[in-house]
Amino acid sequence: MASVPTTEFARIAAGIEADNTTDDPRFRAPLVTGNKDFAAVTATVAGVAERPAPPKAWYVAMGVSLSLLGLLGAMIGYLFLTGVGVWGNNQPVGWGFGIVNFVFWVGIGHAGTLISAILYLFRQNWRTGINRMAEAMTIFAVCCAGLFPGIHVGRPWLAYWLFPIPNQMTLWPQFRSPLLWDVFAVGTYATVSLLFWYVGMIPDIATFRDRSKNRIKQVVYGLLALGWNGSSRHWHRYERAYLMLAALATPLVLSVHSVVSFDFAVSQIPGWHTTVFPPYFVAGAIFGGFAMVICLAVPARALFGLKDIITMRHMDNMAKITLATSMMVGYAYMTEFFVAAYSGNSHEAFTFHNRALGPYCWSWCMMTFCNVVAPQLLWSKKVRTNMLLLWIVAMFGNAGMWFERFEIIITSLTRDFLPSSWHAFWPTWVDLCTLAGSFGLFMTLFLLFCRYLPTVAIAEIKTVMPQAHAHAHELHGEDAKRTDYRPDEHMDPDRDAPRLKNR
Amino acid sequence: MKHHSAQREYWRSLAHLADTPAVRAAAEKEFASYEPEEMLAMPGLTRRRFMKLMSASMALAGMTLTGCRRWPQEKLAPYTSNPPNRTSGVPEQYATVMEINGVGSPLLVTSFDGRPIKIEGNPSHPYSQTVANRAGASDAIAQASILEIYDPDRSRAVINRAGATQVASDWDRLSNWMSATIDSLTTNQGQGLAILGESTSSLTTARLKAAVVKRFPKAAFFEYEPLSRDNEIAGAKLALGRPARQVAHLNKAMVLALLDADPLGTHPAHVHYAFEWASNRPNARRQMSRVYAIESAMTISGSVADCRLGVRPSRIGAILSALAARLGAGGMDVTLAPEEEAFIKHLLSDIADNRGKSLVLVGPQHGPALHALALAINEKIGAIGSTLTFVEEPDGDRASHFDSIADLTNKLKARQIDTLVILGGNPAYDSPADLDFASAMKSAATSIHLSLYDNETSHAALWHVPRAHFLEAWGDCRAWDGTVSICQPLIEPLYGGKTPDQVLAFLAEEPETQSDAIVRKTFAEMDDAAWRRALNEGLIANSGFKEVSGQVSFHAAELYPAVQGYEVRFLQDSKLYDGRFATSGWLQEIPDPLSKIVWDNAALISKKDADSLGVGIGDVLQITVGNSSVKIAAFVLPGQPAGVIGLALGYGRTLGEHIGSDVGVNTYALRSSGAMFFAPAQVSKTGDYYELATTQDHHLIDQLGIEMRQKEIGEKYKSAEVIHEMTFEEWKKVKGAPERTVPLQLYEPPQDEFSGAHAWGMSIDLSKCIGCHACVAACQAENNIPIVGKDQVLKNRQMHWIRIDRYFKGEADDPNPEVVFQPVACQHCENAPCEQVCPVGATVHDTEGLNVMVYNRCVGTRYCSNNCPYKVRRFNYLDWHSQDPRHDKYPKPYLNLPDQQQLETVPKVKQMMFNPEVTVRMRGVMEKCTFCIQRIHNTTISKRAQSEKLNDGDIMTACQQACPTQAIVFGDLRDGKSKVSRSHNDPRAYGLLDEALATQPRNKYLAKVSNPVEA
Amino acid sequence: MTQEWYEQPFVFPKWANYLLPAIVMGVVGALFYVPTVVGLGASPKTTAVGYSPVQPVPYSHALHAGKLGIDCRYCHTTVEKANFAAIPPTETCMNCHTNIRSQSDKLGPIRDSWATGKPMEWIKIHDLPQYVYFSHQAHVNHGVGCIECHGRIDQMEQVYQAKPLSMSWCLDCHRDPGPHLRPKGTSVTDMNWTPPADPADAAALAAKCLDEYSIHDKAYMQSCSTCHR
Repeated sequence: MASVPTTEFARIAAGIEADNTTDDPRFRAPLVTGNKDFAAVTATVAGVAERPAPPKAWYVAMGVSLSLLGLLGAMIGYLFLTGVGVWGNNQPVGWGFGIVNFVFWVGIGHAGTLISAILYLFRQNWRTGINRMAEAMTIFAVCCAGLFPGIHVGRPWLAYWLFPIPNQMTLWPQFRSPLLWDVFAVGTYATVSLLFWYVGMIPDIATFRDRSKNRIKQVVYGLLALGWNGSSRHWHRYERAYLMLAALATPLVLSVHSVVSFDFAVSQIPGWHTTVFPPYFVAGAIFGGFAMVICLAVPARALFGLKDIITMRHMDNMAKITLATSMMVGYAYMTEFFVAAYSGNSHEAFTFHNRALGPYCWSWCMMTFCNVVAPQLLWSKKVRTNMLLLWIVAMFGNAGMWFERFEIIITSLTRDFLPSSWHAFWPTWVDLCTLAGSFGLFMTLFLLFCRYLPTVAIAEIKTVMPQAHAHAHELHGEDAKRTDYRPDEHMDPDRDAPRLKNR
Repeated sequence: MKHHSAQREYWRSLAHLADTPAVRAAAEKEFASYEPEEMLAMPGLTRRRFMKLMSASMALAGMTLTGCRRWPQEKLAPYTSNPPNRTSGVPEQYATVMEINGVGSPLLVTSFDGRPIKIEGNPSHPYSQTVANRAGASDAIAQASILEIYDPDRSRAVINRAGATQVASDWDRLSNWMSATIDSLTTNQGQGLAILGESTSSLTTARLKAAVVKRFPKAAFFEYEPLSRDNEIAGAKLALGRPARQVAHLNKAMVLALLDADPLGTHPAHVHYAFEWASNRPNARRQMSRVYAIESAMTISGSVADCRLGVRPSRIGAILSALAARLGAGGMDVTLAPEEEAFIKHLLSDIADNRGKSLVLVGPQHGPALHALALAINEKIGAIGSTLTFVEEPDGDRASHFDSIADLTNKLKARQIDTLVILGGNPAYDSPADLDFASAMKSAATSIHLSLYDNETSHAALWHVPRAHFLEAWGDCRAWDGTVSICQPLIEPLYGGKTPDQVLAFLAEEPETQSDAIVRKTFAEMDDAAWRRALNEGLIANSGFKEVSGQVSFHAAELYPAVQGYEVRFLQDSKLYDGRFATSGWLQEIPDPLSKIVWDNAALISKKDADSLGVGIGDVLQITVGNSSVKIAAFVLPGQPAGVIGLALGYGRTLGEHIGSDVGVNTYALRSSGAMFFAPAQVSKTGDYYELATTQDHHLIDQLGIEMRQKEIGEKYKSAEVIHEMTFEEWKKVKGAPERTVPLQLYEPPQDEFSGAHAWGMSIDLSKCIGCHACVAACQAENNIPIVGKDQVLKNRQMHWIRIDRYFKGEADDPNPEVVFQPVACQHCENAPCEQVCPVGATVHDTEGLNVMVYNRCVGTRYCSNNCPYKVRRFNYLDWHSQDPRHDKYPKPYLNLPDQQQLETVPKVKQMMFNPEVTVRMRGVMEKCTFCIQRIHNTTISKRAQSEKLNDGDIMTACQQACPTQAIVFGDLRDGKSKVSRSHNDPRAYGLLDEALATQPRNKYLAKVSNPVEA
Repeated sequence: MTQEWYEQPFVFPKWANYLLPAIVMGVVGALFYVPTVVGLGASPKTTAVGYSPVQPVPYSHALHAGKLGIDCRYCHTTVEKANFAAIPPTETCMNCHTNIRSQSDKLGPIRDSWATGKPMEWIKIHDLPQYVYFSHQAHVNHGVGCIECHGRIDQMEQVYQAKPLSMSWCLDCHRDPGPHLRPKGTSVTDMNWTPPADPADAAALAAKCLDEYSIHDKAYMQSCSTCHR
């Protein structure tokens, strides 16, 4: 039991990444490793934005992302000037990649809000390491999501008719339509997430402002910091606002994807028309979201040297949540089949029979493998703490969630009620390029974020460091020089006894 | 300049119809100085119909900001003087007639401010009327001729092909050039002058032929039709001793035996025959006919038969003569295969019970002897005089078409002919392959071809002369029963075409050169009143052929030699006929009733043969007949008899213009004088694959799907969710009104929703639908529905508002499956799933219960289509009217305001075809069947304005009007006595998927009743 | 050592404190200003009403319909029989102008048209979108006066668009047709006809008209399908 700290020390001494994933009931595992103090944390995070040039890898990634973004632009141009016919959509399959991608990206967004809002309200301190990055990811995912409903309509220049704008036709949108609910749900979600993200960032931006030498940066950060000066009044207002926003954002985590799932649940296509969709979609969204955070965090922490702040423990926890939600999703899959069989509705039964064994069984297998089978690896700690393996499993998760949407939307539509109308769907090159392009948009935004904004909530993370603890002062003076310092030794009940004897 | 005259004529069309000197004078003045381009320019059209004509291209004008003057300024150009008896903007109807293969189909054409835009059957003509003087039926081909007249590919100029060069010329230059030839002909009495014509029953043509003969006694006349029915005539000649035409009376036939005969599908009088057939399927007196079909191909008649037996063509002779022997009508009794035995056992007993009410028909592809034998049988069973009568055959003693063309070819090869005039037709393409007519033509010093298109024959000829479309020209022809109809033009020739009569008149040096004068002269004995009546009614009363009676004498049938290997059977195509309609995009895209193939023909093959050859749908076969062979994709068609390969004629045109060229495979290559209808063949698998486009079961039918489909459509003669049906015996027991079981509703729908003065509804009788697709074509013409081309059909983006679902019932390897045709258009649900999901409320129902689609509100989310359980909604994925249906796999972007696309890219001539009462949809909007709302509104509005009462049947949807069997009924459900209310209360009535989804469709189907023999 | 100004960390200057109220006021103002401008600017009342292009011939309705009192239907013959009101053929003009003002320069184009047979090209003023299926006979035969949509044509020297012809404008009438109707027996072309001044009488007359023309199904009159197909 006493071996833990020493091995820990040994690891640090040897420069090996700290493993703070062990749970020893006697003391709390550190959330920041590497024997960092406040200044060090600030330096690490701010360093990313302050270093004159980002690492080469950043340029490479940015190059790829930008070219994909260009591709997206070109595809949308072609689409607008020619018609939806450039996509693979056809008569029974009115919704193709456009809506698949929309639901996929909206889902991705969820982890961010969950981490930042719900975990905040539940006082899950470990969230502080990753919430900023997760929230950023949310915003960018929602940007991608918001794009698709707009471009998939036949006459995009009239898409504004979905908004309740007074007009000389005295016409309003139809409030019975789930698509309209989407407009409001996603709109609200985007707004609140953006606010939450920005408000949370203000103190850190202020830090950037104060640390930056370059006048332009000073001014830009300065404007963004809204004149933050760290006075206790500021802090007080800030805390309140943040708490309120968290409270606001929390229900949205559940509402948005529930509403999105209504697009399907409210219609009557076999395979869509089912009550399990809202919880099923939310679980799936959180699964996919966490998978995406992992995918981004793994390279980011390596790239920008954040290993001590986004620690092994963070990754470990996220992996656990991913595992949990993947099992929920798996359960939802089973429920669907059960209901199909139990309802006695021949159309419903056929749809699921068809999903598993029909012409699109490959997509069903992909989905099941990626979302249910592959995550089972995360039972093993070795996998959870091996960044490469973890990243791969997370990648499966992302792919799986995309295929889940493909599965639900496409296979249900290809074969509905009248056998005469059945028809297959195949994407065109425009479909595929547009999908790739949406990743370009996402990555471009994320890379810019990593380079120019605080990727970690500096101010918040300091609150979870031991130094922030009441007894921390005891470690000052000569104790501070000790090399066998255990970040959490002050938790040790019989710690002081021997030393007092020495005095 | 050549367009100039043509176009000026077009604009004068109505003046000409009115045909009074004053108007003629005014018309002569009108537009005297216009340029052809201006003539065809849209402003020219707005002159005629400025409020709505441009609904076509202006469909979206102001859609973005209603009221904003973004769209171009419009000009109003009224007449200089109104033609009399016309109100601008009020459509008029003229009776005329369309002739195919020597038989006229009577038509009633709607003209909108001088443009023919819609074709119906003539309601006052016995051979097209379905409701006397109310409704006339027609077929897909007639419906599509409206597209043909505005086809921009039609030839516009006389062309001279001296050597390799091709010179655009005009009629005057041709006539000058001809004068020399004619002089020499006059000296030698027309020696070496040959005139080849299509089969025609025109009295005018007959008169002019005589005139030509008078001038050139030695001139030789020839006649050719690739789908000739000469065998019937010859058969009658054998039996009666004189040529005669058989007129069947299917309404009297309670037992109908069809041996390769297809009276409902390919017979020239099929519209009338289908109508008669339907009257006993079943009739009001609770009787029902029973149809036996023994056939070597899957035909429309066979598919709706109660008992069907697929056999090799070579077996027909044996079966017929066995039948004759058993009935004591002579003939030798041959031993039959067990299934054949079993089959005719039932047939014989039914015939025995229905003496005088039975009829045996043999198809035109079988030899005279078989027809004679069939007549002997009919005599024996008392059919002749009741279910079958004879009328005289015009010019019945002429050489048969096949002899005629062979004779002509030999004369050409022997250089006995130096002036060859071909009036219509396309012999270079469709004459027997062994004759090689095209090269034989070269040996004539002068060859002139009159044709709508500059086609294969035109290219082989020295001169091509554009022909006037039948909607542009005067003429006359006779229906199957001989009733004479005058063909009157709706519009002056767009491209200055000539009629065959005009050419003959020119040769005969007749004084009249205008086609109206030529025709009028033929009927000189009629006074003007009678003439006007004839024009008005579209027929000359009591002008039918004389009845012929005679003693049928027995003739032994030749028994075909038994064939072991494969046999090919050449089929008349259900859409392209013999290939002459290959240029029509509408017909190309209308699916074949049974295979559902579009834009192609295929080798129809039975499952058994497909398995033994190891091929599936799309695998290319090499088919060899004699020493010529073709490569063509296989299509496994249920019901296709084993050992027989069905090959549709009329495809593989090389000079079929933009639409018709290189579509499918030219099967005429296998068709030689000896074997014009069927021939032994070698069939082998090539290993290549060719993708066939079908509008149903397209490549998504795996085992799982097949099982589900069978479950949904049910066993043979058994009801299931999608198809309700019953046998005649069961039907006799059912009584009372249909009970509707609705799943529990969460809440009651509002009561006052459908408070309108009318409640529009439709009913479709599944036992009457024969899947002929007349309704599909009619809908396409009425509602400005575009075609999309093969590539897009492969993506399942065809736009037809009404489709005919064809289901085969029975096991996959059943040689004689049951066929059910189910026309599906918008069901106009009272509880419509589409309405509930549209975010902008672009589809809603009005108080009269129509589910209306508001194009100008639609943003195109396609949610409605997803949620429609019938999948009847059609989305404009691209701007179809502006697309090239042949080659736009990936369409080019359009860099202007999207709503201007059609205005700028659709040929002006084509824009003339649009029905101005129906908005032409732009890309990105959803569309669907409207129950022909424009007809409903225009009728109700004018009735109200003149405060008249609206009667049942005043409003007919386009599909209903075209339907020859009256399977489709439309009307007001408020009126308890209306036809549609009655059929909604019929015990057979059911709403499609209504039990499952409670959509409460306003369209109800009547369960199919079939009359199989109880085993 | 003193720092250069750019080495000072960025802080908002004092005047920035005034930004907040300024911004608030700006936003509030915009909330009112923008919709008003867009609403009025884009409204058909602004964009369509008063549209009055110069016609090839300065035909004066004020003179013909007003002073001379020629009935609308003398020229626009089809209004009662067809869905649209035909523009008169050149012939109609020539009926009178072969004798009257036969040499007037203004009538030059008319004479040319008559001589050449080339139609006059009038510029269309009352121009509905092509997906709107308006029927003159449906309105004229049910007591809707010309004036309702075309205004005082009889006072226009040069015709202009008097009403917005926007969808909401159509709906105003379709939702409450009564007040816009004239009883049977009153000419719809009469420009001077006005409903009774006393609101009670007016209401009574409106009810009477609705009965006379049996216009009862107002829900139907507001259905999309009534005007759009």
